[in-house]
Amino acid sequence: MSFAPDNPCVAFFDANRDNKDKVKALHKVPERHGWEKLTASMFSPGPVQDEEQILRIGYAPNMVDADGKLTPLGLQDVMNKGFSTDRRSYADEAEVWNRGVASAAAWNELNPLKPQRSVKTLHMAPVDQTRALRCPADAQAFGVYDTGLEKNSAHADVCLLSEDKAARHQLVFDLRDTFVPVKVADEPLS
Amino acid sequence: MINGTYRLAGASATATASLGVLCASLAGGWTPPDRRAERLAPDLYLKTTWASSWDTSQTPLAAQPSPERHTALHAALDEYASLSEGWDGDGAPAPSEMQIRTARALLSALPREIPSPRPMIGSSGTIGFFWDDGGRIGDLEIEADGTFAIFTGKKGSMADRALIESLRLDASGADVMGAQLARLFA
Repeated sequence: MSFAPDNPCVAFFDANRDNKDKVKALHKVPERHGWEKLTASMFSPGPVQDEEQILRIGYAPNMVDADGKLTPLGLQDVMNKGFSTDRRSYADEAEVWNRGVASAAAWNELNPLKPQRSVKTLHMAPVDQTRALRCPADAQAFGVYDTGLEKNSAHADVCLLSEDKAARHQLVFDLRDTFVPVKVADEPLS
Repeated sequence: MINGTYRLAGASATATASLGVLCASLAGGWTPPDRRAERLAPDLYLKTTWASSWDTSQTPLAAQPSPERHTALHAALDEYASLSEGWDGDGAPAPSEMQIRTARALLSALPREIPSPRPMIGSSGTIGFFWDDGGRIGDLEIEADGTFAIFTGKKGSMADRALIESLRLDASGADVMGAQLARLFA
């Protein structure tokens, strides 16, 4: 594993950690596809492997539709700041779920007069299927980067690699299908 | 209002009526008939449906006549309108009044022949609606300034996709929306 300054990937993600347009900045990097083989964070256990699975909490009010699937705009972060997920190899379903519940509860306590947030669903996507989605020119559509955090080494970002606007809409629908719901609120893990 | 360019078979009268409703929506807003039922609807759907694909012909929304079939969608827009900055826990902007008004007007302008969409909101503050019946896909995205874009396509076929952006809430914008959706669901 190599870190900055030898590793341009970790340098990029460190410099753009709080950039809400991180994905647009990534589009300016010609080597972005190859960067999945490098580590993206000094807190990561290593690059995300194809055989891994990633988990994502679906929050109300914005992320989950009536069938319990993520909505297209619920996945909008893939186009701007990166879509946050957790690597199942390093954080299991219960840990991710409980962290989501705690996060929503903390926000609600700080914002008692605002519409409350809640955890609705937990979704899982195979990394190889996510990476297999293709742009019109047959280039890889989404990258999965190991953007581990100091307090959560399992963190990974899914980023749209294509700049084609119409393809972007279609690809988000495809990505939506790869994130299968594995738990819904008030029901046990399946 | 439509200048004869609307090409959805048998729908010109519907389109004219829809645009009338669109103008009424812009002027005076929209009042749902039973707010308590609307508030219950999304949770009920979440607990009672759990399918890998969505068949619009089986949904309660599609089964209801217009405008009642959009009741749950207006309820979702009510919820979006109540959001304030940071509603996603990470600084998301609240939807603008213009976005909410545009969304309501577009719902009113949807031809009856088009299945009811589903509501959505993104972390950038974009709101919209989408369709996904497992093969045909489409979305309407409404920006803070009230302009909107429509995308239609088919899963597994990049060749069939179409995206029209920067549309405005006038007769031609509604025309484009209706024509694109008519093509999708023909």
